Amino acid sequence: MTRKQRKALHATVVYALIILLCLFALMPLLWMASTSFKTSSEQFVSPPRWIPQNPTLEHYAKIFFPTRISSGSFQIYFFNSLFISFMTTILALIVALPASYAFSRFSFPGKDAAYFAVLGRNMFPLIVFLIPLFSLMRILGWINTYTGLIVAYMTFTLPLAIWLLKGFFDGIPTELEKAGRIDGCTRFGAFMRLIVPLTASGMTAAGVNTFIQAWNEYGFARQLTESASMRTIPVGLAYFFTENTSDWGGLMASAFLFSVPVVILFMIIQRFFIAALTQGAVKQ
Amino acid sequence: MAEVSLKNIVKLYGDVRAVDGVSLDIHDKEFVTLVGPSGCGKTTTLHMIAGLIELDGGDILIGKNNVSELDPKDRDIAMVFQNYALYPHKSVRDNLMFPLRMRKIDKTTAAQRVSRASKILSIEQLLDRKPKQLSGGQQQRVALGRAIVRDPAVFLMDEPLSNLDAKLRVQMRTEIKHLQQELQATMIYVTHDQIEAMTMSDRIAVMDKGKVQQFGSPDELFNRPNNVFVAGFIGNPPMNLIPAQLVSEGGSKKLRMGQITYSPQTGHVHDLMNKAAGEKVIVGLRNTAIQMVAPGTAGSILTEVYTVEPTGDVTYVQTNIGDKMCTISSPDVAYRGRLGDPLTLRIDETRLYLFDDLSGKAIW
Repeated sequence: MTRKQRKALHATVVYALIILLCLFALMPLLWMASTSFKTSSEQFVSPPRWIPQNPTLEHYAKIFFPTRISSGSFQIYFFNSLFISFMTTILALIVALPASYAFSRFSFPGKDAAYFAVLGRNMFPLIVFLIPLFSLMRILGWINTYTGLIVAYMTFTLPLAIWLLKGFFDGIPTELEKAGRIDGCTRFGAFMRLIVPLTASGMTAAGVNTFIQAWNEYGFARQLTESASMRTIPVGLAYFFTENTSDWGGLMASAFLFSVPVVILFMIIQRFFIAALTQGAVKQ
Repeated sequence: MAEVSLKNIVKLYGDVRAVDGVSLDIHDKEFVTLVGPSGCGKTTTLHMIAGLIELDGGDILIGKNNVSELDPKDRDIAMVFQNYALYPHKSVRDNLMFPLRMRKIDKTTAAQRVSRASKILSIEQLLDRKPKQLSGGQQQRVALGRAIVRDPAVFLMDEPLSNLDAKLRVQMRTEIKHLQQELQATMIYVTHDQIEAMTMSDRIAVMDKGKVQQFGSPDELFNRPNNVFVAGFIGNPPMNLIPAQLVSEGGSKKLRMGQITYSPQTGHVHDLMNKAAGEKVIVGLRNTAIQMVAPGTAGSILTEVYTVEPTGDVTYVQTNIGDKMCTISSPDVAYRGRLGDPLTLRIDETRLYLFDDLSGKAIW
């Protein structure tokens, strides 16, 4: 076998494996999309069909206009998810921006310990914090409120946002602020005018990551909300299964709509996201 | 423009005295360089003048004003950094405009100043580009331009040529010096490169361990170094510094350098030897003060070739004198001696320096 043939064989094997892996990852999503357009009877035919014979939008209609008021509608879940994720993102960025700048630029007593504490939170599973947070929220009267969920989400979104942004600040030469201060800015002015604009891609990456984390969260939302009007989409999805019924069509249609914003967001920002994760990896 | 006075300024980092009582009086329109090895405190001193690092002691005066407590923006200074520190998201024009906007200078005047600075630095055609679209030399010019538009009392330069390649560095060296004279500017320049310091400065402050070792003109530093550090730092190649012992033989003092016992012929060296406080001294000889002579010349010393380094216009010969590797200049540029070839050397005693071994101070 010549060198050229060996290379071709190698490429074929590698691509075959990649395609297999992609199919493995995509199959549930494709099945979800397919099922959401099938009639209830077609969902269970054997052998299963990938392409619906009689495509229908009945499940989409059902989730937007539910017959049972108590189950809430997709619009409400969607709005709740959107609002909570958006506010979590804004708040996380407002806090993470100065925090990560401080970790990057200043030396102060306990800096290493504080940074470790921020990142250390991510070493524990979220569920560990659920009961203490529940008690806290009850004391504060924040159960079943947007505030409660947003604050709860900050506990796990903030550390990653701080870590990502710190990487960006580390990559910006300190001389820029120094030049700014000599050119007529205060320290804060130099930060706002010269440094913040340079972290736009970092903020986008941190922001979208925060949004996706908040968007996908289930455990906290399940425990810290009570009424249907406060449910987010992940919690709402669970209500497609009741004691007596399983609404696969509704579940798949909701799940499909739920996935779309995340996929679109990720497609837009993946370039920034990779830049954020590799920031400082090589000398610029 | 203005004079700058540093009065016993101090910077502490824990127990380390990064800047240890530095006092300098820099005249109006003077080009002064702070030079020294890494960690000598030169950059810290410059940043203290800029107000980027707070003082732990002493005062800084620019003109008649004590600026020790002022913010950088209120000190009427401009600074050029080693990595240029151009604002990457702004065009060259906006980079030049930025300090003027910050000072609320009216648009017409600002535009005139930007136009003048870009003309002086020949960057008019680059005004609409972003910094990353410029070469290193062009970025350097823009950084200088951003300093010039301000028309500040003092220019501070923090190793501005270090990131340029060797050829461009020499070119920009000339340009900065010319610029300083054209603008009649007070300029404080930091570098670790003694050639830059020697070629550009009116006066040089040689720093080591947070202290100014000597402050004087390039000629003074070269010809009358205060101590071993300055002698070894200024000059290229650096001064040969040979540990020696003063010995008395036959009623006269001699210099023992390793295996060599040297009998000085001139009163100048005997005077120096008589002034020495102890027996141990360091003999300082520039490469040109040791001459290769014909074998058998009276008062000569015998050594061997270690290596020969031709540079084109000068050929350096390395040889051991008194167990110390010394560099001398061959009178014949074409000389190509080989390892172990015998050398006969004569010391030009009028240019021999003696330093106290303990304190390192020059004996005059």
